[in-house]
Amino acid sequence: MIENRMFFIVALSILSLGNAQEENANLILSYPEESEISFFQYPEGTNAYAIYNSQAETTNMYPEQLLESIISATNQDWVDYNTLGGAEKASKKKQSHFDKVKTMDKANNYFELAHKLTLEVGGVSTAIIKFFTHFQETETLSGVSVMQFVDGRWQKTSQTSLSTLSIVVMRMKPEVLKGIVLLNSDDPNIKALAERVSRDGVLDLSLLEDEFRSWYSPEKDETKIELYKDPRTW
Amino acid sequence: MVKLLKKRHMKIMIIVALLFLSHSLYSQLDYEKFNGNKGKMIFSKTYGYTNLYDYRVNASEEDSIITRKLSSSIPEGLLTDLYANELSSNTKDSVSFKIIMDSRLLVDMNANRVCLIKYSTGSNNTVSEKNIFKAVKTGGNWRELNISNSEIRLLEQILLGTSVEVLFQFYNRWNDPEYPDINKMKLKVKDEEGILNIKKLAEVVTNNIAVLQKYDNK
Repeated sequence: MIENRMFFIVALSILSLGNAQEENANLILSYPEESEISFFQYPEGTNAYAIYNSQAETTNMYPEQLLESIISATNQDWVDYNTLGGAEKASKKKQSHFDKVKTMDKANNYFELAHKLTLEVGGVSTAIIKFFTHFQETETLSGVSVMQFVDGRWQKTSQTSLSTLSIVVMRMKPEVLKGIVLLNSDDPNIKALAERVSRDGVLDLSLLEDEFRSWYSPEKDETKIELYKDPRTW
Repeated sequence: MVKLLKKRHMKIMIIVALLFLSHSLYSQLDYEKFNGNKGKMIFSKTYGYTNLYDYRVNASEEDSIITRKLSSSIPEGLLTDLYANELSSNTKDSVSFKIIMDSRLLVDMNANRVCLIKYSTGSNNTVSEKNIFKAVKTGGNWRELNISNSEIRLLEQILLGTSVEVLFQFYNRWNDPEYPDINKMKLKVKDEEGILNIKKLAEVVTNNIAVLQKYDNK
């Protein structure tokens, strides 16, 4: 009888501790980071092709290699391998997607690389690459990929705190992004923007996010959109 | 004969051209050259998941008092590993050592979930100072975390210096009149969206230990 009771208490205890672990988020915390940031514009015609035939061939030692690995992936394990957090975090692809990748004309299906931001987030090297997708029978689309260097290789990730920055990286004209990161533009409109989004010569992401929102809210600001947004992006 | 040679030459030229084309298409990019110029940026990193848990909420001894070894697959179990010897001396009729659980903070940092547990230990009639035990979940498994970084150190400082109730009073959007000091201080540690800045919060907590302690047993 006592043993049964003990078992019940222990079971309850394990259940209780287990349940505590699954609880929903109940607090929002943030950490202010100052980071070095670099901007790179790819030379025209820099494309990432599906150059790999198997996951074993990939090393993902460079951000661009990860994009080549992503476009080459022909099975879910490979997609998981490319993603930080593995299967738990990776997007699930259908077999029809992999069949398409296996048979696609590699020369005519690729990512055209536009520009790249690199920074440190919590001591982890992070890259945000803007690209355009070129897939046959599909219109060209703009895209962006956030990746981090973890366990000796670059892996795709979706950092909540970088989601707005990644959209900004995708939508901004390269010369505008370069001007606000390096603070070296002679263009008066870019200089004015750089002043609005910087404090003491340092780009402040929260100001940049506010600025970005002001393009669309409270009402669409066509002048700013014309000046700063890349017309090729959605 | 000349015609045949011309044909063969043409064939070779086509093969060379095709080889060149395929090489230029699929040759590796010159990754080393893709480095840009540097500037500086400041930004506020919001953690994707944060959960603060008060072991005392359940009020049952089974939740807040541990007297036996638990499974190492959970952070609490890893903590009991540290005191396996002491716990093993406990019997059904006699408990000489216990771990007194206070609170736990779970935070997602990059792809890892970090767990901080505030606890003390009790043996006979003495209770130790409060400590922090750290664990990290990588690839689905928990393990003890022996290293720290600036972010984790701030979180340790906050958890050690406050109670769960006090932390929620800092976080709550509305002001509880029973916590007048915190209602004033919270303005310094939150941004416009109500997110707690851990750098500012750790500073406020450290500089106001005595003030905050009076709310501990509220």
